[in-house]
Amino acid sequence: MADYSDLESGTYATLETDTYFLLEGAQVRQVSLQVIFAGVVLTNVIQARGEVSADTGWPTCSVFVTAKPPTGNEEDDITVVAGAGNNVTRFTGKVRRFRPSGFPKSIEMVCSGTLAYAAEWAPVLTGSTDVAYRFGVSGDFPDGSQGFFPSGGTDQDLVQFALAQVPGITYTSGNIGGTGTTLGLSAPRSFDWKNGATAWSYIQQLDRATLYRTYQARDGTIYRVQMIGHPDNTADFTLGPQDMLQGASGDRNTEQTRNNLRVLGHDYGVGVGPVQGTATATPIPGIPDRWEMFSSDLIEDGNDPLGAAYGLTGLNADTLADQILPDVDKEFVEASIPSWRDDTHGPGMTCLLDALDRLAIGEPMWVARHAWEVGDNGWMATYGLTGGGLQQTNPAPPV
Amino acid sequence: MASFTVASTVAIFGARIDGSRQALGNLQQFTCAVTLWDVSEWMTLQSLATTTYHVHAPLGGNPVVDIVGGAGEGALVIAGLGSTTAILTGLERNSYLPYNRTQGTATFLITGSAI
Repeated sequence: MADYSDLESGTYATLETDTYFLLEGAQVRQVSLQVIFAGVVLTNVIQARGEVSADTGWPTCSVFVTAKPPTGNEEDDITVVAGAGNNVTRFTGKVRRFRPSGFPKSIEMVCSGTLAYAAEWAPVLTGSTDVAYRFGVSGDFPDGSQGFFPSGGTDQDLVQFALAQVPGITYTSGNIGGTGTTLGLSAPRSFDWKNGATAWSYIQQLDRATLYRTYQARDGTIYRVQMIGHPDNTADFTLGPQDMLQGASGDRNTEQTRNNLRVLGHDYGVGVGPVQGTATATPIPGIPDRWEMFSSDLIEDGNDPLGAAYGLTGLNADTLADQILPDVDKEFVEASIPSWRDDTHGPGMTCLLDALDRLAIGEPMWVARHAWEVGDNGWMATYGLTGGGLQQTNPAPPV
Repeated sequence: MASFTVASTVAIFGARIDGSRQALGNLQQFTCAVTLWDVSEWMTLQSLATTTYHVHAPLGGNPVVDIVGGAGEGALVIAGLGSTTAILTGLERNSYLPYNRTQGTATFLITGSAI
């Protein structure tokens, strides 16, 4: 047993002390990072980082290890569970590459969600030339192409068909939403799937025309939801200066502001150009009167140049113009916010960015990107936010 | 006498004011001159160290400390000085003293109220 009696002289107990600090303490968190690759928990992980972006479509992730794992190769499954208290699945997908570095010695395991396969797979049917799948007809054709959706199909039907063709992709039909509008009855050739066109490009054409987005969440689930890119009426969470780290930045501009919008659709070749729709608004004071153009061959209905409605089936250019206008008739507000927070956040959510004094932004913002990294520097997330204009009813999708 | 406790592990050591100092940062850094009477006491204190951590300093509000490797936050009690919570971030000692006794310093990052 130690005897401390010799230390009486010089201990704090016998001397007067005082506190000169105004500090209030800190929140302390335990950082956690677990990586499972090819069914094996990796024990030599240095760092990991990942990102889910509404624009990209699928999550990406990089895991840094000291040496190549003895088990597993490219295209094997990988799951990353990480956080600083909120330890949840941050990424599920496939390892696509190994990228070794000589010094300091490490290997980056580059990973992506399985939806990335859609961008790598394109139909090339045996013997077919230009078109692989002919829309609105049935049977096999002499040129090798195949008919599909002989009675037309909704946008969600078409997206599911495209996903179903791609090896390595699984989805639940209930998660693939859409407008429910039957497409292709008026202009079926617009919906043909051409040889060499990737499944992702076919899906993106449909998403762009319907204002929906097909994306894969961090847990590997594939969703298709309406995402116009506008904040919802109700914020899902708030970020303030107490959440923000060095490097936070914002941007406000009216260079991209357009108070008029013209949507052009399919051209039926009758000499009056494509079907069209128009939405206009009074310019924001001080901003020039300007037009935005939006076109998609998948829009089958609209007006003629004199404004008379065609009354056809399918997507309507006028309706789309009304939906898109609020997203361009506004002051464009963007922000990039590094934060220590480890909440389960993702694209499509609405964040109240409460930083008027520092970033000149104190309004709801739409989460376009959520990136994270975990390693020697603890846990850090970066939010990519867009906003401006008035909020709409635009509830958050699953993240 | 002083103690540093993480979960159920308690390290006892003598804390001396001569050789101790404190520094201002995002958090208070407190370096304490320590005396240990037995190797086991040194080993216990060493087991409570946090070797890898990161202090986030938000633009507003209090710092956030991420524990990446080590024992993490514990209760620091120094007789006559006060008690708070802290993480043990540094430990040094003489290479040799008779009878297994050790004198050195322990550096704490104060995560609770400053002391």
